[in-house]
Amino acid sequence: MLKNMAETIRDKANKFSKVFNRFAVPSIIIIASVIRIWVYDDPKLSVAGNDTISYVEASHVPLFSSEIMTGRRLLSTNLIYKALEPKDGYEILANGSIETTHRIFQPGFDRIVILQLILSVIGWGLLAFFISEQIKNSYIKVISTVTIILFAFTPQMADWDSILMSESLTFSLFALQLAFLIKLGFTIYKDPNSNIFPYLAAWAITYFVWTFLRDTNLFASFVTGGMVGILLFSIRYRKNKYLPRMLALVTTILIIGLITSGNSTRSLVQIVNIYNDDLLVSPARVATLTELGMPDPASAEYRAWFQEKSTTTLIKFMLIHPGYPATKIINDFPLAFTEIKQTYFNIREHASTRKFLVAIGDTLHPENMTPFLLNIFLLYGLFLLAVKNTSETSRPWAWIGVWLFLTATTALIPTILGDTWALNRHALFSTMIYRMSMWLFAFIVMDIALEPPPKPQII
Amino acid sequence: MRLSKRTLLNLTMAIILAMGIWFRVSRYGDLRLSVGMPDTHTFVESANTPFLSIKDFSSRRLFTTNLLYRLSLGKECPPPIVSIPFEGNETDRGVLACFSSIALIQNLLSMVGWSVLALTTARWIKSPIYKILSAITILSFGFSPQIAEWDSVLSSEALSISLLVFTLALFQEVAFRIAYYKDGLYNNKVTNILFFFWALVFLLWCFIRDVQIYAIAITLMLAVPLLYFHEIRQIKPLTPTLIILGLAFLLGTKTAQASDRWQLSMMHVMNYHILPYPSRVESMINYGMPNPESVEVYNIWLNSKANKDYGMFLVTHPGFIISTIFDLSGYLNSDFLQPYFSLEKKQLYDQMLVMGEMLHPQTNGIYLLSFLLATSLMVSAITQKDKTTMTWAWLAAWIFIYASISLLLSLFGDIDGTRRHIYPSVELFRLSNWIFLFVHLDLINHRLPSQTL
Repeated sequence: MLKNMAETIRDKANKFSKVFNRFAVPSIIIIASVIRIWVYDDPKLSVAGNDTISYVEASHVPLFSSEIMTGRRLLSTNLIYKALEPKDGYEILANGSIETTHRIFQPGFDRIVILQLILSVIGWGLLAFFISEQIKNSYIKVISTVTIILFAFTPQMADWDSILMSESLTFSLFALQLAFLIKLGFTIYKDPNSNIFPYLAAWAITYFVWTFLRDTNLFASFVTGGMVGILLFSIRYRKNKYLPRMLALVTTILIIGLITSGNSTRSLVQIVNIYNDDLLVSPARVATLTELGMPDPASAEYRAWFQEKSTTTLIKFMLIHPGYPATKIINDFPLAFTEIKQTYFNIREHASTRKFLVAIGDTLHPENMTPFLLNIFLLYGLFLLAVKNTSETSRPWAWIGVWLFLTATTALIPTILGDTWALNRHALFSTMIYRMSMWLFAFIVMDIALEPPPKPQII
Repeated sequence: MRLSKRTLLNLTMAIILAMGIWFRVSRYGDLRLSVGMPDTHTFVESANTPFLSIKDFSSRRLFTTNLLYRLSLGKECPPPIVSIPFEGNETDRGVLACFSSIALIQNLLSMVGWSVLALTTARWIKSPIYKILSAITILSFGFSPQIAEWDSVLSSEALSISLLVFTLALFQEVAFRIAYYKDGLYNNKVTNILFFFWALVFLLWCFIRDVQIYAIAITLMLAVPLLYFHEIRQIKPLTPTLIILGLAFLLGTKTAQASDRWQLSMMHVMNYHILPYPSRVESMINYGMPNPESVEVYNIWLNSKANKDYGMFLVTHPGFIISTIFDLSGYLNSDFLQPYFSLEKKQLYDQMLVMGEMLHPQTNGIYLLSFLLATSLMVSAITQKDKTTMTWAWLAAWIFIYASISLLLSLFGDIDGTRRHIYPSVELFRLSNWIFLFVHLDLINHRLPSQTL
């Protein structure tokens, strides 16, 4: 009788566990999303930065012109600001770059920030959901979902959704395309011949829009192309007709991106900073630049030369003096991880809740290089496991992990080398990946560690 | 000559150790340099108590620091150079008669402790690459400025950290040997000797600071249930050691209560946390505190029973604990660099600081990660049922419970010198993240693939 009772209890627990698994994660995501919207007060409020006007002006170029891609801002923000602009236009009433202020209703921009909020909630919610699908242990499922949602919905990330620049869309669309990439990766791994078209289409659209938000996002295409290309070396995956198309798409995006960014003048602003802050202050560096063809900075020819040849000259300088980029990366790398909180506005409403959320966010967003080191160790562990293939999920997770790490790193290096201003804000995308991956890889490792020992299979 | 993999590995570990020690010796100046701090004179005065007397445990400072200072200081010792950073009076270290030997001992203990911990942790990790990585990480952790510079400061922090890691190292070794005692894989005589040696170092460490005495209770709480298992009961030194620990705990708690060292802390705590808040004053009065307006009666209570009544208040007011932790959370992610002297800026110092910041992350995320890793290990121990996982899980439980309790006791036990008091506990959390990260990676690396019959 006791044995029957124990079996009954175990059966009921298993049924409850299945119900729990099915509903717990979506419930957490929905509840968290509602709280996210409530805690950050009126979603129509926004604050601009010094760069906001450039997004507005860049969107005024004709739709079917080359400037839509080669202008001051890139295609995606141009299209978004163009599509959402009201008849009376946008009106900047609060600029947080001048001094920290409060968000207010700025005509026209309410549409932008509502879009940013929607994409943030959808992107991070879907990412948490698709990650939890691949985690076996129920407790790790729930904890990972809560962690990723808190990671995204605490002020360190969520505040950017009210700021009229490209950070919010960069984070949200990255999360969304990562969600689809995870779904794609595991689907192909389980069955290389499966029909992945719906997820591939969703990923392709998201990835395209995300790539053309910022020039440094383009570097992810090198990584994506390389990682997909590696899969095609395997007979197992070569048969999938969609993978070559995925590679073709990424290559096309890369080529378009390189041509359009090469023909644009938007990087000149950053190049000016590098010349003024790093190069022209050193007589030795000026001497090298002069040998490479730079005219006297005080001369009339300098301006014309700068427009045409400053970028290529800088690249040549870095190749001749590798110590300069190496030192710059070594010195600026630790700094890139600090000061991640936005300084554009304060929120007065729900003060005690916000204080609590900031503390949670500080826990999940360490402002130091530890996430980078943890990433290396955890990723190495996953990689070893993938080679041994002792766990069902190790190989796809290792692939995604390497993709994440390389994407973050390849974006960070040009960010550091490409400007001397606003390093922390520009590097936020890469450091955000390191911070998120730190938790994600830790949960994956723990999930694998908690797998019960394999039972012998009898053939 | 072809070297075996094992020999190559041992050689690599030896090189890592040698490089680590060379780095530690060469980067922090003369090992005899020292600087005092405002409390150093209390260590000097307390060392005059008779050896192994009750006073030796109940004076202003505890047994172990009394022993160290007693051995090092003679009758004619100059006063130490004292650095008072909160008054803006930082000073340089100096090689002072009498105190130079204390600094030297602290530095040597630090090097020995961290080296032994790196070796024992690597020893019980199976994968060669993780052995190497864990050893490098632990040595880098221990030899970074965040830890190493404290070895020149004449206070209890250096000994607390150094003997803690030494204890942990011996603890690891003994725990694994006990786990495999019945299998006869290791020399049981050596295990028995190590057992007693661990107990000695452990007790020396416990009697550095009052809060560390509670580690004995935690050890007993986790070890006594293991006596239920027959094969554990057969380990001869175990039961007498646990009895000795129990007696030491009684000695520690009784002498702590009899001493006056908690009274100043209690006054700080009452003045900061309780007296300004009428609702808290009312609660404390319910627990036996006299009305603070009756100054004489209040002072008598403060110096006799305040700590017990405050303890009851804490236990029954979890909201106060949570809100105070929240308010003081800035301390929990502090950098813990010593503020008493500036190290002479040698080459690579800035890089050493950066490396130290990476290994000693100033984030409250370490507590979450520590909890997750420890819990994961414990659950793994239940599901995997292999001795290695179980032993690591037991050690993880010990570290997590001790670090948590000592942190809370330090946080709530005084408001003066909070950063310095919580430093060993926070560093233990940080260290445990790295150790148990490698343990996890090693465990999953040795999972067996599905067997097909």
